[in-house]
Amino acid sequence: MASKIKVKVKLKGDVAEVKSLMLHPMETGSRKDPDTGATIPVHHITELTFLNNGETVMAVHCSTAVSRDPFFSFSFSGAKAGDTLAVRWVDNQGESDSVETVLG
Amino acid sequence: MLRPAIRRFLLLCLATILSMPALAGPEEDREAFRAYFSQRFPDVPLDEYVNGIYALDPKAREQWLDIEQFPPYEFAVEQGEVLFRQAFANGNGYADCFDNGGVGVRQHYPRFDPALGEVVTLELALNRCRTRNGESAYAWDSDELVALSAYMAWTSRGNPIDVEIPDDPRALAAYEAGKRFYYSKRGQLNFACSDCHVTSAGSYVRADHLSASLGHPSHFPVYRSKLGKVISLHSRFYGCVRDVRARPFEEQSEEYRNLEYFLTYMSNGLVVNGPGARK
Amino acid sequence: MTPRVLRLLAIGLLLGLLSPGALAQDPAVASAVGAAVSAEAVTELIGRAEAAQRSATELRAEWLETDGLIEQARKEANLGNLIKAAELAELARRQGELAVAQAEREAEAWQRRVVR
Repeated sequence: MASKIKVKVKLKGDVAEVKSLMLHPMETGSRKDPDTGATIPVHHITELTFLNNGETVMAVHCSTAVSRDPFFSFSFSGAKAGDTLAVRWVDNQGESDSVETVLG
Repeated sequence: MLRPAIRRFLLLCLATILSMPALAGPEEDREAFRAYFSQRFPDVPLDEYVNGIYALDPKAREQWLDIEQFPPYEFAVEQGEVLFRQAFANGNGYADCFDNGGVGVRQHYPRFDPALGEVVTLELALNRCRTRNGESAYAWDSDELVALSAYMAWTSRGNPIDVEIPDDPRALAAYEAGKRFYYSKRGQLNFACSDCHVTSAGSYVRADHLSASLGHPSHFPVYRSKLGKVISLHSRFYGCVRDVRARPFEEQSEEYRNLEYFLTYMSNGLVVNGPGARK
Repeated sequence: MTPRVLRLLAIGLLLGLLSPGALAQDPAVASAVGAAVSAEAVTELIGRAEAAQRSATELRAEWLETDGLIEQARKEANLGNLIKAAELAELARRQGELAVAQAEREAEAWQRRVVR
């Protein structure tokens, strides 16, 4: 199935500016279904990792404070054209998603 | 000297001609609309109005341009394309219901349907396409219908809005009904659409910066950060009417379809730039 | 009974009669309040509110909260809170009338706002 993570990287010298948008409901577990009144179960990304050539450049612990379809943006140094950036997340219901992009 | 009957007739003609401004045609309305905003915001080029408040507010524009680097409506466009390409059970598809296979046609909606004597919006056309082909209609505010609309807007980006009012008194009546709705005060707060989006465009209502009505429908359906999803124009109409504490009409009601007809006509010439992203 | 006991009983009775509860239980007072807001009067007021709202509906000009107020008035009436129910019904009626006045005024007034 196609990844639901989008990632864009801009290289400026050896600094990579990473922007990433991912599809995820990020349910807090506090919302109720408007029709049935039942509580919508907690469902959010717990761990989000960005790896450049297999080395972790950013690790994020997410919780219910992050809203739906989160957008993350950060920069890291030591990047060069041809590097492979991987984005991976795991959520509290055991689902996961990942995508890779080549820099430059 | 003229006979009394002829004098009366001439006076009637004169009275009609003098009262003409109230009966000015849609083109005159549109030109007056554009002239009003040109004068009101002389530094804003007319084709910028499709960007709503971001044409008037430089700080908000900066944030919006940042968001547009990674448009939040892309998921809806992708979902819409997948749905659009799915055939119905009978083998037909959405492409069979629209000109040019439904690609790049958003700028012609809403259109007046002479057979049905009513204004047909894109969302209405999509659902009618479904029911005519034996599928059940989507709810007006469903993710699926909005995604289809988002995809069709996407394929029409850059096309100048070109809504037609055919030479049919019913079409003109629908336009006039939309115009009347737009300028009528309603609700406990006693606001007309024009109070905020013409008279007070550029001003603040509480913490919200009011956009101009010129260009308003161009970027729908629209992703709203507040809701975290893409919504249709009629959802917005529903919200606005509720916000002035009037009982909202239903999406795709005659009132909203006529309003969309009037508003989109006012933006003829400006380009489709949907789906958009707004706060 | 001793005079002392009788005196105590008299004081107690007086204090009891002077308490608010006692006065309200006074049949004369109770009937006066009841006449001001009776269940029938409340039904009449709710009827008037509904009529005003129907006029607003005919003009497609209803305000947002009016239906809710009428429903709330009915609920309060069923619970026996007649004064509250009467207030809500009157408020709803007023909203319906104002909505109608607004729509009638706007039938002409909208023209003045048209950008020319």
